[in-house]
Amino acid sequence: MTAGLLAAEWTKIRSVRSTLWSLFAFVVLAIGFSTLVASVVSNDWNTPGNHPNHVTLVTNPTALIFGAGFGLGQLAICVLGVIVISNEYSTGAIRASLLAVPKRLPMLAAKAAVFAVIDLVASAVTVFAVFFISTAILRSHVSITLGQPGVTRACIGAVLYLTVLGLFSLAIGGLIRHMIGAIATVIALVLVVPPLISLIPGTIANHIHGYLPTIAGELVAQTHQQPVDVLSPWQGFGVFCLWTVVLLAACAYLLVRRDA
Amino acid sequence: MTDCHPVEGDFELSSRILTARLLAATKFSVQALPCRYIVEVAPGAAGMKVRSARDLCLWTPGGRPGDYGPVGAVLDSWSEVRVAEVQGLIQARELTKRYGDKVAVDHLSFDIEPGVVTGFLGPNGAGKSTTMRLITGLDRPDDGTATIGGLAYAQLVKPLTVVGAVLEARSLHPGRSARSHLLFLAQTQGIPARRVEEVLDLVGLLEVARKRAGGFSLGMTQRLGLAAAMLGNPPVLLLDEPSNGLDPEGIRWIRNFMRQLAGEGRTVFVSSHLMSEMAVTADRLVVIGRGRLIADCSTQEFIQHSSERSVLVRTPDHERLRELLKAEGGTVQDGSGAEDGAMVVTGVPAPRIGELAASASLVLHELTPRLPSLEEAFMELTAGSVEYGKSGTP
Repeated sequence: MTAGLLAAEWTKIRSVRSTLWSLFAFVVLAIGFSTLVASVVSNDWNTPGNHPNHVTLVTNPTALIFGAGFGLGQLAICVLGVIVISNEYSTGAIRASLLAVPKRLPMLAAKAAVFAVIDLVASAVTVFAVFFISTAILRSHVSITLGQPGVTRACIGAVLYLTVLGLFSLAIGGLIRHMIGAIATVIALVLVVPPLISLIPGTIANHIHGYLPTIAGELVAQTHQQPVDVLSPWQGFGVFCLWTVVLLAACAYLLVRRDA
Repeated sequence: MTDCHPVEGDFELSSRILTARLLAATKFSVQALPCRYIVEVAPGAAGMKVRSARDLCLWTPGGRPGDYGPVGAVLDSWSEVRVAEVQGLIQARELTKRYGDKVAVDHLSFDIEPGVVTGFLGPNGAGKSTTMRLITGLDRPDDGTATIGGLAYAQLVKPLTVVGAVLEARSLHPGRSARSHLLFLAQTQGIPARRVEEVLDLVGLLEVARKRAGGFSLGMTQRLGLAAAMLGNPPVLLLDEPSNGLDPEGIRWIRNFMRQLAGEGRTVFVSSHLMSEMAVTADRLVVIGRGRLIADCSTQEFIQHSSERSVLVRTPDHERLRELLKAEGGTVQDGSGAEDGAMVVTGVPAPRIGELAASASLVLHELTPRLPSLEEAFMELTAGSVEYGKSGTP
C-alpha cells in the first residue's frame, strides 16, 4: 500500500456524490436528532413522565445523549461503508480499479485505511459536537462534563464504535458486492437481529445477544456498564473488532479468489 | 529483456514464429529484423535449427541485449540457447476457463507480437472477452497461463504502464467525472496528474473532463476508456470491441489510432466480431470459436486460404464476354450495377479474362481480382463453432 494508492482511494471517495451525501446525512442526522432529543428532555423536564430520562442522565448520560441521534446516524455510516466498496461492483469501476492494482489486496487495504480515517474524523467531529450541544442544552438541569467518570471514555468509545462500524459495513459490502443486498444485510444485523434475539428467553440467548456485533460494540459508548450487559465496555468493543477483523479477512480472501 | 529462460532440448515458442531444436551442426540464419525474440547464443557443441526466423534476431556472446545480429548471419555451433521475451509479447498457453460446466475458453494458445495490429475474431460468445479478462487477471484461469512480456499481469509492478486495456465500456462510476476517473487511475501508478490532461486531449474529451461520465454517449465512454488505457503510455494495448457504439467517424478515428500505435512498435490486440472492420484494421488474426483456436495467421493468408477468388469485370459488351467466359468454364453472376455491365466471374483468373477480351477485341472498363471478404472466410471457418447454431433449433 503506497501513498499513491491512498491518494487514489481518496479521489474515488470524494469524486462521487453518494459517498458525500451519506457522510452529510450522518452528520446532519446525528446532530439534528441529538439536539432534538436534548431539547425535548430539557423542555419537558418537569413533566411527570420524564423521570426515566432523569435517571438515565445520572446513571448513563452518554446513552441518552448519543442514543437517538447516533441510532439513526449510524445507519448512514453503514450505508457509506457498504457503498464505498460495492459501488465499484455495481458500476463496473472495479474492473478499472483491479486493472490498476491487480494484486487486489493493496487496493482493499488502502480503501479501508482511507475510509477509516474519513469515518474517524467525521465521527469525532460529530460525537463531540453532539456532546457539547446536548450538555449545553441540559445544563440548567444536570451538569455533564468530560471530567466525570466514564464520560470521556464513552465519547471516544462512540467515535471508535462508529469507525469500526464503517469498516464492518465495508467488509460486508465487499463480501456481498451487490449494493442493495449488502445494505439490507448490514441494516438487518444492526437493527433487526438484536431485538429478535432478545425476545428469546434464557441466559444463552442473552449471551448471544450480548455478543452480537453492534450490541457488543455499543457498550464502549456507554458511561457505565449496565447490570444487563454481558460484557464490559472494552470487552464489548473487542468483540466488535473481532467480528470486523474476521469479516475483513473473509472479504480480502474472496477479493483475491473471486473473478472480478 | 532481463528475464532469460534457459531452454534445453526441443522447444517451441510458437509454431508461427520460431521452432528450434538443439541439433548438432545445424546451421541457422537470421533472415529479418525487427526482432520479436532475443536469442542468446553460447558457444558449444550443439546446434540450433530455426525453421522460421522471420522475427528473430540474435544476441551473441559478448554482445549486449539490443545488439542485433545482422540479417542473414549464419551461426553453426552453440550449446545453450536462452530466449528472452521482448517486452510487449502477449503469450497464452493452454488457457482454459470454465463457468460452471460451460467451457468459455478451451486450451487456447497464441502469441501476440508487437508492431502490428492483431485482430481477435470470433462470433459472439466465442470467448474473446473472457480471454481478455484472463490476460489481464480479472478472471482466474482454470488451467494454462497468460503472460505479457513473460510476466503474469498480477506480477506487473505498475500494470497501467505496461498494458492499457479497454475491456468493457461500463468500467467506470457514472457519477464520477472523466477527469476524476483518470486521476485515481494515475495516482495508483504514480503517474503525474498532468498526464490526465494529456490523454483527455488525446481522445478529444478535454472539454467534458469535469462532466459526469454517466452522461457520456457510448462513443465518448469508449474514448474515455481509451484515455485510461493510454494513461501509462503502455507498450501493450488490449481493446475489446472498441468500435462498438461508435459512429463511422469514430470508427475511422479508432482504426487510425490503433494503426498508429502499432506503427510505434506497440502490441495492439483488438477483439471484434465484425470481420469487415478487422479486414481493414488488423495485420494478423487470431480467430476463435467456442473458446478454441480456429486460425492464427496474417489477415491476407486468412482470406486467401479460405475461399475461391473471384474477379469483377465491367464491360459494355456484356453478352459476348459472358459467352466467352462460359465457354472457358467460368461462372458469371451479375454484379451490383448490372445495367452498366458489371459481373462477378469465378473459375477464370483475371489475366485469362483480359486475354479473352483482347482476342475478341472487347472493351473492358474494369478488371478487378476480388478477394473473398473476410466475412466469407470467417463464416467458412467458424461454421459449426457458433455458440447457438441454427442446427440446434427444431
